[in-house]
Amino acid sequence: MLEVSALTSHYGRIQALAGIDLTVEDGELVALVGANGAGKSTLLRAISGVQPSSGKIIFNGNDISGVRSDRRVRLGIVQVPEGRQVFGPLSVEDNLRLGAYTRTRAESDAELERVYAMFPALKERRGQAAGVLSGGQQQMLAMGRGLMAKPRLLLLDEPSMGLAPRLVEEIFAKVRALKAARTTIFLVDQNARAALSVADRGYVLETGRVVLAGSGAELLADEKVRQAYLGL
Amino acid sequence: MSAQLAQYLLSGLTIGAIYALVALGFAIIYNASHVINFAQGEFVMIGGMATVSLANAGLPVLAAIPVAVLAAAAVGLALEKFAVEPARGASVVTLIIITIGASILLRGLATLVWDKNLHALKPFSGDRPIELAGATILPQSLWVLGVTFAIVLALGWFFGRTLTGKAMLATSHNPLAAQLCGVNVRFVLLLSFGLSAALGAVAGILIAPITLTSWDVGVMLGLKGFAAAILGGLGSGAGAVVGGLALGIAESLGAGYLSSAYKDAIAFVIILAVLFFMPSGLFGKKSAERV
Ligand SMILES: Nc1ncnc2c1ncn2[C@@H]1O[C@H](COP(=O)(O)OP(=O)(O)O)[C@@H](O)[C@H]1O
Ligand SMILES: [Mg+2]
Repeated sequence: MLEVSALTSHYGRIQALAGIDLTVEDGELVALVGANGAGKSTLLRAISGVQPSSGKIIFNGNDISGVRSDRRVRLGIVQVPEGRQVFGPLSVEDNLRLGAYTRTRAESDAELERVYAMFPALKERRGQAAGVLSGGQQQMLAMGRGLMAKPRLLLLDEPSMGLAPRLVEEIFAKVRALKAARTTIFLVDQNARAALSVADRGYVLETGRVVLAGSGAELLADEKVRQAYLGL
Repeated sequence: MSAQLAQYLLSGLTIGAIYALVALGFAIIYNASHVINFAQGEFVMIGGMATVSLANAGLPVLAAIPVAVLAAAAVGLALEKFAVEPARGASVVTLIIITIGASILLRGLATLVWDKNLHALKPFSGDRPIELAGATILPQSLWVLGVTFAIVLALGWFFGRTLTGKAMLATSHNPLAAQLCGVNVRFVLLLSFGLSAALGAVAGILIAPITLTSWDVGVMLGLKGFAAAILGGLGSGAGAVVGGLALGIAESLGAGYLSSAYKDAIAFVIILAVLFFMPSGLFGKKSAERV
């Protein structure tokens, strides 16, 4: 479904991605782990087209490297960004409707019901400003907003960051539910153990390079991964 | 209420409504790009001057007005496309300087396309004053107030009820997240310039029968609109309207009870006072709100 090759990206003269090659297959959940500053968010932003990059990004057989970010959303590449980034002054429901900005009104209506069914707390607060929600609720809203776009490939950037353990568990339960519903997911999370546990496959990123790749179980058992990312 | 006070309030509200329209133009562009568009006053001038010249060329005023508004909107779109868009990524200060340059260019072009004379536009429905609460009001003032009211309602509907309007608000709050929702933020920027230019032009057309119009009428009206926007809180739509009306009334009362020599000074005093004592204005976001 997604094929990234020789992808590089810079901030001024600082290279953040130094030639990334990876793939995500239809229906897979692929995890990307790596230390702070490794380039995980940069990679996701490059895939979404909101970060300049060079190299090749193939999506469903088409080279989308030069395609504008809004067109990529229409194609089904949808990102839930790091740090939630909800539209604080707008209502919960407006945030969700904006998630379906590229979809028809009928699709938006249908998705809204599904998102409310998945996150009942959002339905209760549909009229409230997104900015007054708790951190956990804002993360649910950010995910719901992403789902409103009917993603074919969902990019999740640190969905559990800064949340209490109970909420982390809740987020990962949602991720598992999405996977069970055959949503293709590319997941970045600082909680490497949880991310690799739910993942089919994983990649390890260090200073802009993929240094390890394998199945989730393989990476969880890998000595280097255990030392560097699982704290064992 | 004395008839004199009523008179001052009515004329203050009229000019205040014009300031409000100009201030709304500032607010819309500011929200989309954080740029203070100092060419906003030039849209006001283009609206008035284009209508006058089209009317002089024999076009009925009712036909000249939409053409003039569209012309101003086209200038606004061109300004965004050819001056602001190519400088994307430059600092906000650079962009503001570009708009100042554009305003000088547009004034220069106006003296070439038209001339340096004062022009009068015929009032839309005559000039026989109407009695109101002991004071009198010109029919043109009713046009100003009525059209401004309708525009404020329409903008409220656009930003509060339509997905495109909400996408513009979302872009102003968080451009990255808006992009990830599939909003084309370049289109939002373009739209904001077109919309602001159209609003400015409407203001220039409405006021032309009352105050005359000329190539440089945008300088003062632009500054007054800017003062109104600052007073209301840059970026706030409600603030722009309240700020405009408040400035208009303050000016009118100042001119009436103090001296008309102070009229223009009031706007500048307000700009300075707000910047010193209340930087976020009446309706502006508190800085704590911006996480
Ligand atoms: N806006 C930016 N400007 C300059 N450097 C940046 C910016 N964003 C990220 N970087 C740098 O790029 C590298 C990768 O960052 P990022 O992709 O955010 O890493 P991660 O998501 O893995 O923590 C880091 O060295 C970071 O300092
Ligand atoms: Mg990151």
